Amino acid sequence: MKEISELIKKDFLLELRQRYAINAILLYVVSTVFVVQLAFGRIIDANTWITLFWIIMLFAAFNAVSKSFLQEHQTRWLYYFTLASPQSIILSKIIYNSILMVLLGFLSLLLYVLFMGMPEFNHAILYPVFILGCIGLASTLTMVSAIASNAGNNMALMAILGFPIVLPLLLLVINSFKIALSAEIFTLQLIKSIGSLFLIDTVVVIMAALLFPYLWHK
Amino acid sequence: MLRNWWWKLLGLLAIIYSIIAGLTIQVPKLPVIYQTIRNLFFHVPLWFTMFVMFGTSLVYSIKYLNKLKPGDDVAASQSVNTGLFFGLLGLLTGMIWAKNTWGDYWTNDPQLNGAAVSILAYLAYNVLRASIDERALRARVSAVYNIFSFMLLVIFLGVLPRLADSSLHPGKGGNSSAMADLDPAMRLVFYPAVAGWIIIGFWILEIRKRKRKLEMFLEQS
Amino acid sequence: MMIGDDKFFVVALVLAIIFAGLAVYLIMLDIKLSKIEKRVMQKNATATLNQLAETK
Repeated sequence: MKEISELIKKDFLLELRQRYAINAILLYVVSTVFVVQLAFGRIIDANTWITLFWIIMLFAAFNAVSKSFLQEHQTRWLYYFTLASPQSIILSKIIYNSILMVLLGFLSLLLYVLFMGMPEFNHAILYPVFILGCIGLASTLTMVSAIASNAGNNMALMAILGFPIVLPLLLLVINSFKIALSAEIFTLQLIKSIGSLFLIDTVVVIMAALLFPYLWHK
Repeated sequence: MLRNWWWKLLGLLAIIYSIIAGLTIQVPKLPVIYQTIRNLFFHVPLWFTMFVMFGTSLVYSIKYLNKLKPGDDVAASQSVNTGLFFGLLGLLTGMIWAKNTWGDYWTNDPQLNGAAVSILAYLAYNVLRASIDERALRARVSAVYNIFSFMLLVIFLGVLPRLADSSLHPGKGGNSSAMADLDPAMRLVFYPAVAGWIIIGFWILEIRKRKRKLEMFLEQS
Repeated sequence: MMIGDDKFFVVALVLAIIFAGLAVYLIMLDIKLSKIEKRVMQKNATATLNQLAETK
C-alpha cells in the first residue's frame, strides 16, 4: 500500500513539474470544442451533444494516458522494478491516471458546457456515470499503453490496440448518459447500465493486476 | 489411420447431413425471410465456430503464460487466424442475407457490431504480433493482450445486446435465447451443423499448427 | 417452388460463398506448402553436397 501511494505521489510530482498532460490536453479540448462550436453553433440535440462530448473525451484520454508508459525511459523502469512489485506499479499507474482523467474530464465538461450549453440532465445520475466512465477509460488505456510500450513505443499501435477494447465502455457510457436525460432516478435500464460500467471497471483493474507481471518479468 | 481420422469424418458427415436436410426439410413460413431461414444452418454455425476458435486461443494463451512453451503460442495465434477466417465467411454470408431481407448490407444491430468489434480486436492482435520481432517477448505480450481483450469482449457481447431494446436478430429485447422459439425439427439440423463446423474448425486449426511448426523449423536451422 | 421465388437464391448464394471461401483457403494452403516443400528440398540438397565434400 505504501509503495502504491509513494508511486502515485511521484507521478503527481512529475506532472506538477512538467505540466505536460494538463496543458496539452486542455489545449486539445479547447480547440476541439471550439471547432465543434463553430461547426454546430449552440443549438444541438441531446444525442449529438453526448456523442460529441465522449468522442472528445476518448481522444483526450488516449493522449493523456498513452504517455504513462511510453514516456519514461527503459532504464528508469529497471530502477522502479528494483524498488516495487509489478502489481503496485500498475495499480499506482491506474489510480494516478484515473484521478488525472476525472480531473481532466471535469475541466473538459466545464469547457464543453461553456461553449455548447447543456441539455437537461438528471445530475444525480450524470456524475456517478461520468466518474465511472473516466475511471474505465483511464484504466483500460493504461493497460493498453503498457502492452504497446513493449512493442516499439508507437502511438499508432496504441490506437489500434485500444480502440476495440475501449469501444464497449464508450458505448455503455454514451448509453448511460442518454438514460440520464430522463428525470426518473431508479429505472431498471439505469441499474443495468451503471452495473455493467462498474463491472467493466473492476474486471479491467483485476485483469491488469493479474496480467501486468507477465509483461515485465525480463 | 482411422484413429486420427474418425472425428474429421464425423464433422464432414454432420455438415453433409446439415446441407441435405437443411435444403429439404419443411420450414415455417415467415414473412420477409421466406426460404432464407434455411441460412440458419449455414451462416450461424460460422459465428459459433469463430467464437469457439477465439475461446481456444484464450485457453492456449493462458497455458502459454503458465508454462512458457512456444508450442502454445503457435496454437494461440493459429486459432486466432482460423477464427478470423470463419469470421470473414460469416461476415460475407451475413451481408448477403441482410441485403436480401433487411434491405442493407450493414445495419446498426448490436449482434453485428459485437461481431465486428471482435474481429477488429483480433486483427489488432495480429498487428501487435507483427510489430514485435523477438519471439519470446512477442508470445508473452500478445498472450496478455489476447486475455485482456477477450474478457472485455465477453462483457461487450453479453451486456450490450441486452441494453439495446431492439435488434433485428431474433430473441432480443430482454431475452437472449434466440433458440428458444426455434422449430424442433429445425433444431435437429441446426445442432449437428454447428457441431460439424466446429469440428472442421479444429481440423483447419490442426493443419495450420502443423504448417507453422514446419515453417519455424526451417527458420531455426 | 424451389428456385426463383421465396428468395431461395439467397440460400444458394450463402452456400456458394462458404465453398468459395474454403476453396480460396485450400489454394493458399497449397501454395504455402509448396514453398515449404521447396525449402526442405533445397536444405536436403545442400546437406548432401556438404556431406559429399566432407567425405572427399
